[in-house]
Order: sequence, then structure tokens, then C-alpha cells
Amino acid sequence: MNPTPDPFENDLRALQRRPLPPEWRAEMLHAAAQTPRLARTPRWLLAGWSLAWAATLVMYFTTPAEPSAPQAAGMSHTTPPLLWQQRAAAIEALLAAN
Amino acid sequence: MPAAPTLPELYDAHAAGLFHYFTSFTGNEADAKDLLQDFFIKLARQTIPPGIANLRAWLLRLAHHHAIDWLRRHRVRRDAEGAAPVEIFATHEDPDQAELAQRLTRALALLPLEQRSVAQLKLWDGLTFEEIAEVQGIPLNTAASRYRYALEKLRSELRPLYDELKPS
Repeated sequence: MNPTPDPFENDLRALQRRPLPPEWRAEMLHAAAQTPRLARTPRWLLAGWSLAWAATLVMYFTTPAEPSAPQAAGMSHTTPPLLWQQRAAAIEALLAAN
Repeated sequence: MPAAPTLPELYDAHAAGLFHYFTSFTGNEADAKDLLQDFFIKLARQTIPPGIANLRAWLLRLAHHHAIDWLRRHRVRRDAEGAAPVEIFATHEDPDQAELAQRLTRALALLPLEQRSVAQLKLWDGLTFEEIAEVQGIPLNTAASRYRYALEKLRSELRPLYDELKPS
């Protein structure tokens, strides 16, 4: 993909690009030196942050949405669709009673 | 592992090339100078990752993103392409070379930005097509074809003078 350059290319390549004005060097390096280096977030802080998030997620997924009633203690393994059906039936019964 | 270069070392080795690359985007010296200044400020804030095989290509890739961001912010692409050309080449004692340099500057300014920037990287920064593709985030074939189009246009623009200057 990089074939041998032709004489025209070589002649163009031989032209020197102009150097930068010497005063730019001090100007630019001075400006760059004034810039505070961005502090990296310490590793211990990142690790603590990750642990806190992990703990939050674990608690979120392991805690039931609402406290179980004593009689429903055995329902902790109830599948969500069944739970929804039971709730819908309870609501319908409530509405019918009124 | 060699120590990372300091900012003054990076400036001495690469600032001119970066400036000329920026001019291919801005089309004027003042904006290219501002871009270069901002680039070195950005560079001062970050850590150069160790073990970079080709520092020039790495810097040019950063510079490319920097220039693209600038273009997006300023929306001056069309203006840049139509602006008066920035002097790219050093002054030559030889009047023929000086004339060629002047014509070449004008011919480069006539190229679309994509072709001009690829031509600069290939001809004067000495990058391979693989490196150019990496720097600009384009396919290898695109880099090669942009260069080929650029070279043909330059050849056609410069032909009368070039043929006159070349010994037959």
C-alpha cells in the first residue's frame, strides 16, 4: 500500500516546511505549565465506590418489594406472575365487595 | 522502559508538524496557533501512556480529534477551505524553489480538507498509509485514495512550472 514514490513526490517532500516562530515556544510552554494537572481519582476511592454500588445492588435484588404478611411467609418463592394473579384477584374481590 | 518525554521535548520534536496539520483544518495561522496552544495545554493535563511505539502518530491522532472538535465548534469548514493560504514552506534562496513552494501552497489550499490533511501527513510528516488511517480513523484504502487524488491534483496544478523547472 506504500508504493515507491515518484520523482514528483520526492521533489514535494524535499521542500522544507517553515519552522515555528521561536517566541511561541516559551509562550506555549508557559501557558501549558500554568494548567493544573487533573488529579486522578485515587484507587481506594474507586474501590470503595464500587463496593458501595455492589452492596446497594445486592440489597435491591434480595429484599422483597414489600414486607411479607405472616400467612404469606411461604410465598417467598412465588413466581411473579402468580403473585400478580393473586393481587388482581384480591383487588377484584375487594371491588366486588364494595 | 524509556521515560515519557517532557512537554518541552514534545514541543521541540513535534510542534511544527502539529501546527502545519492544524493549518490544514483552520486555513489560517491565528486559529492554528490557538489550536496548538490548546493542544499543549491538554497534553500538560494528561499522562502519556508508556510504551507508545510511534509517538508522532499518537500525537497526530490526538491532534486530529482536537481539530475535528474545533471544526464542530466553529462550523468553519467551508470558510477554511476558501480562506487565503497559510505559508507552509520555509523561504528558499533558490528562486525556482521559492516559486514552487509558493505555487504548492496555493495548490494545497485548493484541495478539499480530507485530501490536504492526508497529503500533509504522507509527504511532510512521513506517515505510512496505515498510520494515516489510524490517525484519521478511516479505512486504509480511503487514506490511499485520498492521497492519490491529492497528488494528481497537485501534479496538474503545478505541471507547467514543474515541467519547466525539471531538467529534461
